[in-house]
Amino acid sequence: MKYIKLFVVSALIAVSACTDVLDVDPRQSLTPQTAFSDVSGYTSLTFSMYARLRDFGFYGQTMVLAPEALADNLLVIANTGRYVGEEVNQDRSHINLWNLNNWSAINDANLVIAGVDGVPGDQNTKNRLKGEAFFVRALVHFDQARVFGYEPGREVNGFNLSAILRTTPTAVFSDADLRPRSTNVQVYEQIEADLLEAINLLPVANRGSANVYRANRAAAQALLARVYLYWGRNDRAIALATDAMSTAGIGNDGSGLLEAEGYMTGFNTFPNPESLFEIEIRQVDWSTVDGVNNSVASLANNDLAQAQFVVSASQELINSHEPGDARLSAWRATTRSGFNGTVHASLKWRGAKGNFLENLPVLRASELLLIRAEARQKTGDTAGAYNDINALRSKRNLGPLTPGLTGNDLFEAILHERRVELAFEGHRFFDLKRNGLDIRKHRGLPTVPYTDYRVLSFLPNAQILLNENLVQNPGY
Amino acid sequence: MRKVLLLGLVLLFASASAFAQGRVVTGTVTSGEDGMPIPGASVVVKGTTIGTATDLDGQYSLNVPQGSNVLVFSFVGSATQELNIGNRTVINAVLQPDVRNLEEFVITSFGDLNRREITGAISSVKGEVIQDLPMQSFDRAIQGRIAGVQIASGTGQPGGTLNVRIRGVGSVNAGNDPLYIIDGVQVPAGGLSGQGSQNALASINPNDIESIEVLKDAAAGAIYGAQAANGVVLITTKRGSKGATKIRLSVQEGVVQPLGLYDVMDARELAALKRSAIVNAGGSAESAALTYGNPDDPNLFTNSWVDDIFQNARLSIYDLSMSGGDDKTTFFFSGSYTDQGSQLVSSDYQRATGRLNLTHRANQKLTINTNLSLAYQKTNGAIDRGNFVNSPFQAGFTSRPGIPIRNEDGTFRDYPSDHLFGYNIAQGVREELRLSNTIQTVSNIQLNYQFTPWLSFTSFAGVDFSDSRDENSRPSTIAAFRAQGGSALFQDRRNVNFNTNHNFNFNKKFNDVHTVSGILGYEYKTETREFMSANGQGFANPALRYLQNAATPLAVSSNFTQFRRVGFFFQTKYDYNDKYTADFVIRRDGHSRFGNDVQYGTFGAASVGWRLSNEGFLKDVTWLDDLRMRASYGVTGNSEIPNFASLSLAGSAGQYLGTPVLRLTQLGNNLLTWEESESSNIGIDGVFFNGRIIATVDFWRRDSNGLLFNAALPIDSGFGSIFRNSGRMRNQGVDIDIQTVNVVAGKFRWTTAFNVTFLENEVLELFDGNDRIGNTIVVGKPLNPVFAPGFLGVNPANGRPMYQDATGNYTYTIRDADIAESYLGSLLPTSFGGFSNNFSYGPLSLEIFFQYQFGNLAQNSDLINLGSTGSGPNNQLRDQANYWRQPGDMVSNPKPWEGGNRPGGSGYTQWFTSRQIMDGSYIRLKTLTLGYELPSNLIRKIGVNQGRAFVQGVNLATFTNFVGIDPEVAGVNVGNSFFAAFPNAMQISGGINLTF
Repeated sequence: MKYIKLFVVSALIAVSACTDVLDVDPRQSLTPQTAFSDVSGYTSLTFSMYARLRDFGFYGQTMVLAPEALADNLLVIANTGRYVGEEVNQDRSHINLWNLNNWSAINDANLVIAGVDGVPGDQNTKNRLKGEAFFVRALVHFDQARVFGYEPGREVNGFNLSAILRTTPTAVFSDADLRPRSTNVQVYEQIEADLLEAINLLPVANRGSANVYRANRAAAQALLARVYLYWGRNDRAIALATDAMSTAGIGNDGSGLLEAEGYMTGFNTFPNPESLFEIEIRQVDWSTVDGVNNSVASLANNDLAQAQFVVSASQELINSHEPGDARLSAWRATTRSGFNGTVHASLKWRGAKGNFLENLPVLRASELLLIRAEARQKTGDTAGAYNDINALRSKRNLGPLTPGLTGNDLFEAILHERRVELAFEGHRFFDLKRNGLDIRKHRGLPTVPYTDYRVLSFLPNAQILLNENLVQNPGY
Repeated sequence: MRKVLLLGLVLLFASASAFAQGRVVTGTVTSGEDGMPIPGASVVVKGTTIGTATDLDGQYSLNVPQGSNVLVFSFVGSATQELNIGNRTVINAVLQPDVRNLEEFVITSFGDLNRREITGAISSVKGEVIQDLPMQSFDRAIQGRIAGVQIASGTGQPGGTLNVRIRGVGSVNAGNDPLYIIDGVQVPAGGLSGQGSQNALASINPNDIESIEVLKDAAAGAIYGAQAANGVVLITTKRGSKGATKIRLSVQEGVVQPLGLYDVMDARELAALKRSAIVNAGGSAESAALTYGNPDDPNLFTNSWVDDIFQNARLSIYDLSMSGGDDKTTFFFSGSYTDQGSQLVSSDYQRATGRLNLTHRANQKLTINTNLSLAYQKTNGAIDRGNFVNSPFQAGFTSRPGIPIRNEDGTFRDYPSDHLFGYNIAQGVREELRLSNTIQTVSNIQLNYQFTPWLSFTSFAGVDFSDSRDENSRPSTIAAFRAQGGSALFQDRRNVNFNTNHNFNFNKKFNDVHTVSGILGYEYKTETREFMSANGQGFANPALRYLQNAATPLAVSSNFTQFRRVGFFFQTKYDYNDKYTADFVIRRDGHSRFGNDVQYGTFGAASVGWRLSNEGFLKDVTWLDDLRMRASYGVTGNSEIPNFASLSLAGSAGQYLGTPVLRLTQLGNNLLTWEESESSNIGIDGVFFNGRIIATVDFWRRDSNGLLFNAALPIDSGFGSIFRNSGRMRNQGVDIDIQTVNVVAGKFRWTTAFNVTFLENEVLELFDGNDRIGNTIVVGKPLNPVFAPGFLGVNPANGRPMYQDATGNYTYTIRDADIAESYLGSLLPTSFGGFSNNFSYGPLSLEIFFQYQFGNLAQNSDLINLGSTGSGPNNQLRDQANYWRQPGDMVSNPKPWEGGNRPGGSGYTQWFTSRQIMDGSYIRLKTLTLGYELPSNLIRKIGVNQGRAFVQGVNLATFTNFVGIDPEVAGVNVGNSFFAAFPNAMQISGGINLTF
């Protein structure tokens, strides 16, 4: 019996010690309180947003190539399954942006915005981090808005649902509530508000400096100019493009842009001297096979023998260049074994950092002239539109645009200028869509009418089933 | 000390007096089964402790004291026999096999239980059933042998892991593996390596195993409380016994062969199909010929990638053990070496094991015991599962036959870059190194102190330690790695599982009929896992692969994770005159994984047994040997979730601009606590017709409550899921186990062992009133439901594939609603079991063992690649040539279409449909063993006591409607991939075992 007593006593001692016994702390993770207790912690969190932007499902590949494949700029030259569906606008072959990576970037931003002011540290640094967070939140919401919804005023059958708005952080379970999609106008208003905050908070970055690897004032102004253009608020688009040009040091005559002879090398310079915002990528960000498997350079270029080289510029894109256009130098005519005929490798994306590696510009200064030209054309300022287009053309080894164009002809000329300037940079499909145009196709593929359900992407079915407030896009 | 001396004197005196007054009786003990002598049989003078054991020839010699006239002969597995001595000096005994006795004792780490007293649901497999089977781990060897236990190999990699599910799948997101206890050491199942499946349980040589007990319900498992929710598997290794040292040698050699591999096209067949596909989609025949060659060219080059990378391989197993001991010390010592090739040229498995089990009785009260094991496993692995271009089970079949594998000089030729990322699989499997080495020990020390005859104390400490090194070298000879100059990856894993328990055992009988026994104890368990990884690229020469040689060191990584668990337990058992039994267990466990205030959970079980056959009204029923009813109810716990699942975590995620990135990686839930498994069982055990029929039937239900659910969150929140205690699931079923002795006629004997389990699984509740989570889990349906539109075949009018839509009509384009309404069934089987027949005639024996499962769907994603009617660049199954050519064609394959994306329809391989998901039921001739006992008069001459030669086959035949290589691996959803699984192989081997 005494043994039992002994045991009971020792068991009691063990019990009292148990709360300690079961105290195991993780070692390679921190509690959020510890991790985000100062400005340096919030800097690491802010940089998480950029790390998410470089994901292959986002600006790392999809946002560069898919908008080209969905329209008429990209030709699939080897059937590896990639962009095969997008090229023919197959059901559900679209841009799948409704994913954890992108929404987490928004949550990173929300955590920074809600929390950085409450920790010790330099206020300028805090303002910069907040400004970056506003910028990224706006960028991601904008990408979701243009992939999943129609632009305000361009609705088909009145369907106006857009992204879900998330402007408060998910830090605990109860924050992860089930929300409905907001309307396109609500989302655009939020993007506008965020970018106005960002413009206030962000510092100016010198073009060509490493500061363009982070959000900066010119980038925020340029993005807002683009947003206004999509929104149809052309006066504001003109104003913001002008602001951005002024911040970035781009003259009305195009000064500050690369000269024609430097146009191509700009893409193989890091950062690109024309970059307003560019995502830096390093070898350690990739697994050993990501270069071959997932890089834009491997898909669109054949400098390296083991490149996949599965996409080429479409013949229609090549043909649309005017003689002497410096931008033709972005394409190298070559052949692809297994493909009958000439194909065109992209020299914008050739992995100039070595082993398929390169940075990816998200906002490039030349777009500002294109935004302003289009907005001026739409507000009836034909002369202003001509000025902007000709300023750009002067930097691309082209003479002035045929004089006397008006109305739709001028609009089409500007659209064409956009097509060749921003080819393989993820614009073509959106430029057609936001203008309510049918999606033009190449190699005799049928045009996709603007009213076709395939113009909008689809939400993941699991999310629709989980969240009864969530409405799927029509047709899916 | 004084007592010991005294005892010694008493013993000395006793033996001296016996010597003085006794007489010597000698004799031979033989087996009634085969007439062979039985070594090690016990011969005891009735009513005394005087006795001996027979020697290797079955002979004994014993001093029998005056006044004693009866000898008791006994041997494990035989009926005990008492013989009168009379005036004889030579007494020969013939022991008859006693089927009833075979499973008498069940060993748990807390003490030995007499099977007659067990009131929970326990099944056993004796070591001899799995002895010398050419299977590397015991979980593989007991597949189909135990009612209620479904075992499926998720991989055919030799030495690979299996999925073991006891009485269904009880948890959605927490673990479903049973708790494995090897000689008292809690060993987690799973894989040890990242380069090829390597089974953590394979460090135990199956030939070292004495018995395997499976505790299936809460009453049996509750003493293990925490972790017992998924059942418990107890492994007991062999111990020595007093007597002459026994040596056993077993040698086995054999071959490993692929099962029926996919029959893919040659170059001309593929070229013809691709020409149709490309022309149909608007391309030109010339364009098709550029890639695939001209099908009209009778001399079109072709070669077979399948023949190049698959093979027949050799299998060798050598096993040696010694056991014996004296009064104080017994030992079992063994060593083994296994070298098993695989059906894949690059993949193989080697293992060496060593074991020493020692028991020493220091004195009457103190016994110490240790089990020491050491195992080295080396696996040359392969990419297993996943639609990867460097997986041989993908690219081996999809590589284009028209591409030469090698250059004329014999070197490997670069594969075209427009397919499989330019990866030449035949080169890849040979030149890419995927090596894993593991050293593992599962060892323990144990101390028993017997205070009084009814009270003892046990202290136990055990460790499962493994150290594993993975290497993946990708030399620059392979085109895909040339630009970077080759790359190499090293990964080290160290896992330490430690558990210790300290408990009192008591056992007392009152008034000859009341027996009370029990355990009171404490347990502590911790598991620590450390991981380190480094890689680099840029090697001057492909023969260099160490990181010192890398021009560019790349990512390095390391991490650490740990959990701790404590428990207190009490069990008591009452038995009245072997008629009524009651058992009660209570246990309280705390786990570091759970929220601070809810770390502890209380578990327990109660069970009763009633031996009807001991009641007066059944005493005279002569055909009834034993009949017993059992009933139990209990609750056990499950905590198998990631170690820090209850905490909000901020973790790192690479870098940006050289600054480390931190982000919120997990949302915490401080209310997270134990998942509970509530199980009830009603069982009947019966033995009939003098042991000719032994049957056990159990009716069971297992409700999992407060599921540790990785509940989905709306991803727009920035998080995909959070662990919550939410939802309920039910498993219920019947386990039936019948063993019969069908025929005993002279030397001929036929016995049968049959088991089957019928079960159903149903999700009863999810979280927040949700009735479904996407198409992955739905209330009212079993777990792992399959929602996939029905493939309605090909429209004879236009050759387009048709699918069933939500309204039951056909459609070309699949919408969300069509999938939500397309429930096909579940991946979980509704019945499974095994069927074994043993025939013996004198020295010859034959065992035929079938294993089966029914009612489950199996998915074969390979058909996405191989059965696309040429829409992609992959080589195709031969049957794809039978496609739609003109209106009116009634065929199963549609009009070929390059890209698969006919205008205005779903892509042909865009969705999983009933085309790739089908009935996965199968019956497999798992093992067939032909044995021959070597004639003793012959082998005696070379000093061998007993010898047996055998030939055996594994996976010799499979009966199924499944389309694919192996329905067994196809039914197991490992890592959510049904692509390119490593199929099981057929094995045929022959060997001999000798006992000296």
